[in-house]
Amino acid sequence: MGRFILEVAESVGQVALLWRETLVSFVRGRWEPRLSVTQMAEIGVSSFAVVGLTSLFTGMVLAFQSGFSFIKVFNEPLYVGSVVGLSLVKELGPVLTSVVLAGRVGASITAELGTMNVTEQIDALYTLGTSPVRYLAVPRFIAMMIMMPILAALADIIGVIGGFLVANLQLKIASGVYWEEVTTFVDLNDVAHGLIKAFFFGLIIVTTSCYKGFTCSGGAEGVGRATTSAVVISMVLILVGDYFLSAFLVSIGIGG
Amino acid sequence: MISLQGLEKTFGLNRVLRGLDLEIKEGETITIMGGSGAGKSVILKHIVGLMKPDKGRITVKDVDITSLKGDALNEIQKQFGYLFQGGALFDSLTVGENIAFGLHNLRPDLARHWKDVVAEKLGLVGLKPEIAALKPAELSGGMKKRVALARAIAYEPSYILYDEPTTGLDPIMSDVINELILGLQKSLGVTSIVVTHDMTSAFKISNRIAMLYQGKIVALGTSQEIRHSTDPLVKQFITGSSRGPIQMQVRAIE
Ligand SMILES: Nc1ncnc2c1ncn2[C@@H]1O[C@H](COP(=O)(O)OP(=O)(O)OP(=O)(O)O)[C@@H](O)[C@H]1O
Ligand SMILES: [Mg+2]
Repeated sequence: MGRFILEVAESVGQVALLWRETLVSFVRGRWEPRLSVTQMAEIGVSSFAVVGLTSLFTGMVLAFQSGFSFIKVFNEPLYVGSVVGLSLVKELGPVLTSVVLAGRVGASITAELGTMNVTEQIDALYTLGTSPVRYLAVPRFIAMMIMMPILAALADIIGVIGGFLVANLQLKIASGVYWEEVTTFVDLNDVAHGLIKAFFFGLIIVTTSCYKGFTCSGGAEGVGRATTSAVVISMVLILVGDYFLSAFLVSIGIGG
Repeated sequence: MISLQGLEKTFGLNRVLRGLDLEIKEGETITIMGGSGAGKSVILKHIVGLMKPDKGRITVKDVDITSLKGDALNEIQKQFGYLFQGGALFDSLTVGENIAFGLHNLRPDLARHWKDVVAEKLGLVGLKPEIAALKPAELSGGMKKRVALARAIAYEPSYILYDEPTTGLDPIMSDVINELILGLQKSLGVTSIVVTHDMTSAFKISNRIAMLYQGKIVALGTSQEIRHSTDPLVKQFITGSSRGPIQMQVRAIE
């Protein structure tokens, strides 16, 4: 138990160092925009389809469940648009997107950096006058923190459209009514609430996966272990952090 | 001059360096030999600051680099070329991009003609310029090693650390590399530290040879002195005999 606490404390210290170095490189302008753009394209291309598909069906099932529950209570499907809109924009859009990205992008970051680490490519970067943080971490931080809110916003939109399909075709809610509900109950404040969380989830994923990649050891097996644990840790931190982040944002008046 | 004083390094329970002293003179080629796992690669990593000693001091041209970090350490590292034992080529980049990688930071003056530099260095290690467009995964083991060597010398560093430069090469290609190491010393006055098990190569290229055993340098002398040494440790190593004072930790099949 004591050892566990020590290890956690050590990791926290190292993460702080990683953040500091990333921030310093970023502020001093020592980051190559080209690398960030490549990373952004990679994240977008690799994840857009999965994010789109999961959010479409999430919106559909939300409309389905809320519609039929309300029919049971009120004999008609009231408020479907508001339920779908609010739950997606505030919670499910950002959370689902980040879970998908933790699995796809986070895992691949750890695997790539971890492989570079155990094959001494990271050491080679140093000897060639390049800081691994600047060359590898900074572009991934920038890309992830920009792409997460963008993908979450797309997830919101696609999810609401999915909800509309079920509402309109299956529950026979007039399209005017559905969109009216969405737009009256979801305001910009709620959207901001969700996207700010997405930004921080992106930070969680990229920090965990870079850290695990940079610190892994023990050959191919070690890379595998680091990758699994990066995904698990990211997901746990996202879900636990979600509660605290939501509470904090609401307390300062964003998305109450 | 590079000087290592009283270096100690322990990994867990494994005491790898146990008070190692060694001085490397400007312009010489020194070979470090020693058994597998003796800590030769660990020494090279200490010299460029990739590893930090638990105890002891490392100075390069009288600058104490033991506790240097970040940019200050980077400045020192710029003078070093490092051939990693496993090559450590960047597998997301082409051979050409690998070789040119250091130029941007270390030799901006050469960076503009990077394609010429790549072709020239590939020639030096006995490879055709056409392979510049290939990815490392498409190369043979020996070719990877030579590309890694080309990358380490591309920016013309004044110190070059070679971790087993001829391992995995055929005898003729090994000699090409020997000539390259000798040539760099002669034409550019490069100081080289070579780790090798290849005794032919060691005797050909070295001004001095050091023998690492149990975390210390136990023998040090010119090529001639080492070749004719009567020290049983040295004799056993250069003749490659399993009988002698050095007991490898391998259980013989009985
Ligand atoms: N990063 C590390 N973590 C833990 N132990 C290490 C590390 N690097 C090296 N060692 C240990 O240090 C010892 C020396 O390793 P080193 O790589 O220097 O051997 P070597 O002399 O280069 O051997 P070889 O000729 O086989 O390359 C080995 O026992 C190795 O297990
Ligand atoms: Mg070695």
